[in-house]
Amino acid sequence: MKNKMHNDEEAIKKLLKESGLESPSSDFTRNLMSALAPERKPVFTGQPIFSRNQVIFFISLFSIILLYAAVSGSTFSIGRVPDFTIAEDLISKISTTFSSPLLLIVMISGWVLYILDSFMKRTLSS
Amino acid sequence: MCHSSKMKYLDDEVYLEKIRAGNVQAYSFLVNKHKSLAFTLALRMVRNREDAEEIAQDAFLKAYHALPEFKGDSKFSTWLFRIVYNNSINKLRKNVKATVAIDEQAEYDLNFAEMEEELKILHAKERRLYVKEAIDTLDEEEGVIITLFYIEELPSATISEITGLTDANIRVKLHRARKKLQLILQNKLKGELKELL
Repeated sequence: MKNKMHNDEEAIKKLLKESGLESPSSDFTRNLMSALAPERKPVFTGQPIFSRNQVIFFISLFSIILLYAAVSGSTFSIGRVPDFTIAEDLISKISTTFSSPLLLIVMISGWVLYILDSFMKRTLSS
Repeated sequence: MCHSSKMKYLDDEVYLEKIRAGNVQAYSFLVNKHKSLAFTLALRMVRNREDAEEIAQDAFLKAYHALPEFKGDSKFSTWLFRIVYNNSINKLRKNVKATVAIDEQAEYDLNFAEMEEELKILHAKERRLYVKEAIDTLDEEEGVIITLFYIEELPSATISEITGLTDANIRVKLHRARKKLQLILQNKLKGELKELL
C-alpha cells in the first residue's frame, strides 16, 4: 500500500514536472529593466574636494605671492616720485618668482585640482 | 514551457550583494532566474497571461524597491513569490472568482502510476497540454500549491511562507488537488483512448 502511494507520488511528480513552468514574454526582463532605468542613476551626495573658503584662501595666497613679488626690493619710498618703470619691474619680478619650480608645481597643481573638482561636480550632477 | 535551467545561475545572495554595491544590472540575473516561476504562479492564480505578466513585473519592481528593507530572514525567492502571490490575490479580488467543485462521489478508476502508463501513448507535447489543462481546472490556490510542491519540490514550510496558509491547510489542499487532477486526467484519457480506438 505504501509502495503504491509512493509510485503514485512519483508518477504525479513526473507528469507535472514534464508539463513544466510557463514562460513570460521574451521581452519580460528588458521591459522590467527599462522600468528601473530612470532610477539607475546613483544619488551622489559627496562634497566638493575644496570648500569655498579653501578656494578663497588659495586665491588670496596666490595674490599675496604676486604682491610680494611685486614689492620685494622695490624702490618705493615716501616722499619720492613713483618710478614709472614699475610695470616692467613687476613683470620681471613675477617671472623671477615663477622661475622657482616648486612654487610653479604647487600653483599648477592647485588650479588643476580646482578645475577637476568643478568638472566632476558638473558631470555627476547632470 | 520553460527551457531555462537554474543551474547556470549563482546563488541569489551573490546578485543581491552586487545590487547593494550599486550594480543595478545584476538584478536582471535575478529576474531571469525567477521569472518563469513568478509568472507561472501568477498565471495559476489569475488564468490570464497578460494579467500574470503584469503581476510578475510588478512583483519584481516591488521587490527591487523594497530591497533595502529585505533583511534576508527568508530566501529572496520565497519573499518574491510571496509578493507575486499577494499581488495575484489582490487582482483576483477585483475579478469574479470561478472555481471547479470536486465531485466527492466520483469514481477513480486509475491512479497516477497507471495513468502515467496510459499517457505514454500520447506525444510529449500532448501530454504536457493535458496536464496543463488539468491544472487550469484546479482552483487558484491548489494550482499554486501543486506547482510549488511537485514542480519546484519546495517543502511545505516554504509553501506556507509564500501562501500564508498553515501546513495542515496545505496538506489538505494538496490532497484535494491530487484527487481533482486524477479525475480530470482520467476523464481526458478515457476520451482520448475512445478516440484512438
